Amino acid sequence: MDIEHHLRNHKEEISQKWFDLLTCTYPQESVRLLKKESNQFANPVGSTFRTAISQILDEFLGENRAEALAPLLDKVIRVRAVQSFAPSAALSFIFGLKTIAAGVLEEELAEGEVGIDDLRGFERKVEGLGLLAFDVYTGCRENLFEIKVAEIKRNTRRLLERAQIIIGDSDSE
Amino acid sequence: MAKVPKPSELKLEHKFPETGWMDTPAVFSPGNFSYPGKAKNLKVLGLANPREWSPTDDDWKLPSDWKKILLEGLRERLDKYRSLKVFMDICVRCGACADKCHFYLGSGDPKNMPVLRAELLRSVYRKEFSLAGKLMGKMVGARDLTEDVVKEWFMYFFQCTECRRCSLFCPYGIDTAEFTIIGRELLNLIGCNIDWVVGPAANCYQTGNHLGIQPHAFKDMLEFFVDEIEAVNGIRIEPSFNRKGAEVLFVTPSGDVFADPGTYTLMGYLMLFHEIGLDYTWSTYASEGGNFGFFTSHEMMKRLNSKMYAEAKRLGVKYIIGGECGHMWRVVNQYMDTVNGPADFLEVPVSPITGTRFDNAASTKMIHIVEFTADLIRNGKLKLDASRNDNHIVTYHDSCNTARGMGFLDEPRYVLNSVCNNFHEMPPNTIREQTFCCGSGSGLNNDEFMEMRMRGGLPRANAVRHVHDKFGVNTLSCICAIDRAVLPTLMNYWVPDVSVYGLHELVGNAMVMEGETERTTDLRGEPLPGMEDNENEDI
Ligand code: SF4
Ligand code: SF4
Repeated sequence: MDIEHHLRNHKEEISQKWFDLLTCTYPQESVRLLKKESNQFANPVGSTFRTAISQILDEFLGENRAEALAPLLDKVIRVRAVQSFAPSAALSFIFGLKTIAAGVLEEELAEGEVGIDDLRGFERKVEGLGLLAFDVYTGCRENLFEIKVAEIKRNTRRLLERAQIIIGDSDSE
Repeated sequence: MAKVPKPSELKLEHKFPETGWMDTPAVFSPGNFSYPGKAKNLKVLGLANPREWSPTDDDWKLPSDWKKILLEGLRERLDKYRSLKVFMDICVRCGACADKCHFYLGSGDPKNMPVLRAELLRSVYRKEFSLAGKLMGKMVGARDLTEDVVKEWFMYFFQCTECRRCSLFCPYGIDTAEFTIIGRELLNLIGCNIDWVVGPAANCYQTGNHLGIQPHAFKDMLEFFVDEIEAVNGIRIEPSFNRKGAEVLFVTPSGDVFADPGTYTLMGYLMLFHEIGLDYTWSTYASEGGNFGFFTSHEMMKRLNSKMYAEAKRLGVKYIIGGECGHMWRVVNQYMDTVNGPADFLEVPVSPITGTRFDNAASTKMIHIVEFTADLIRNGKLKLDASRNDNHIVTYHDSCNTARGMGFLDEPRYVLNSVCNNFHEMPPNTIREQTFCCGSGSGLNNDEFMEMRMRGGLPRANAVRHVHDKFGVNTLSCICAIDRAVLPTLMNYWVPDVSVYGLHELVGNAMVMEGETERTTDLRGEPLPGMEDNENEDI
């Protein structure tokens, strides 16, 4: 049995721990809000995180396809990319998965169902996830700069047109 | 050399401090504040302490008696505004408002909780104006007014869009937006304001609109749109400018004149007025419906608002119709009557087409174009082909100002349902009175504030994404010029498949005009549903 199989057996526990790890990067008053099991529109960040984490785990412990994981990671990282975190702090939750995995597999490790090499292998896989997260984060930040430029263009295109800087150039939007 | 931290160490290294709020100073970093007002703009408006400075500087170059100015200013306002005094005293810190602010939901920064935002001012009030506060200080939530407190005010009163969502949930009806309004007014007394507010206000004061477009340029811009409409449906519209004796003066936010996609909404107005043969005029002097004075002080709001009325008087019109705007209407609906009204020299608006008398505007003599259009449709005065908007699966964003500020909820929906066939509401706790702000209102729609805007707009975008995923919504409609400017940006970041349309753009698409040539495109020049092939042939 591979390590992912064992981890899937602990999925609920891992989800919860990973979610806790992610939310504890916020101030205490806000952790309470994020953890509240309220309506998804009343607690948009908390519920986005909760759902996304579960989906990321399903894919990561299952087929682990990068093209499927990227949009799932994006759900969490897009939020963190505009909050006041340094890039390292925004993404550190990914690596926490290593410690969480070792923790939930304590018994399996003790009983030799999961070997230390399996765990090391899994940790390398988490590092791969971290690299993917880095790409996603960069994409979000680039997007942030693009939208600034696009907004300025939208706000001034007509004036430029009037000044005949752009003549009949409809591709300029 | 510093060691590379382990991941387990990193997770602790977040920016949010663990000290109590009073001991946590505001940290200005790129993306969380707006640039300060430029000295030249402050001078134009006659505002205090014009100078060049930056919030990231240690020394804000405040006037030497800044503390006295602020405390006197606060005392004066406590005497003048009873609501402020009441709001200072009655909050029981129940927390019902805490998680209702879009900025708090998106940022997780506790000082964006409405109750704490108000507490920034209230703590000083307690210290200076209450005996308990004087004696017991921090124990009763009182603190001294220091330069750090001023910095904190600047940070958080310019991280509030005055949207009033929080007030809806407060059992006592405390309106945190009023704290922000007063807080900004006080900051203005010592020269702490943002350029995105005072710049447009100064332009408006001098030239008549926020961008400072001069009369001839304003007229040119409108003539562009006349050409574009003619290219779409063959109809030549001839708007008039500064025409004395017209029945109606039309005033819209200048954003509609220069910023896409507001420009298409403006084409919709032009088409509508032409089609019904309204006797109206544009003014190149009162060429701004918006009022950034409102984000500065009550006095500045009054000054900018009076311009529209002075122009209505000069031209001798009967009443004013205003375009799709948000805060313009908050000012007209909530303040105009007491600051500049009643406008006795004008008449109660009566639609010349339907005969409907708008008694709701009996004193301000100014009606919103959406109520005017809704009345036309209800009376069957417009020929509409909603199928022309069949490529749009539409939802509607209630602007805070029209929805919460003036209770304008059903008219826009009525018009929408008349001009398009696919309309889906967002979830109930995100619309109508409970609408989530765009995150960029009250003068915060500048690009240096982008990260905070994306945080503040997150709850709104989250609801749009929901209807996008569930019903395939691809069009977010609105009736506010700031929304039209900022929602495309918000969508671009959070829900990139959704485009933003002003309501009268959709009206312009659906309206079948007398004498029009066969229409193949919408106002953006994109093929109408079913006309995609024609388009290809042209190419
Ligand atoms: S809901 Fe009202 S009373 Fe309760 S904390 Fe907020 S402002 Fe105070
Ligand atoms: S008025 Fe709006 S932005 Fe200001 S504190 Fe209340 S909910 Fe937040």
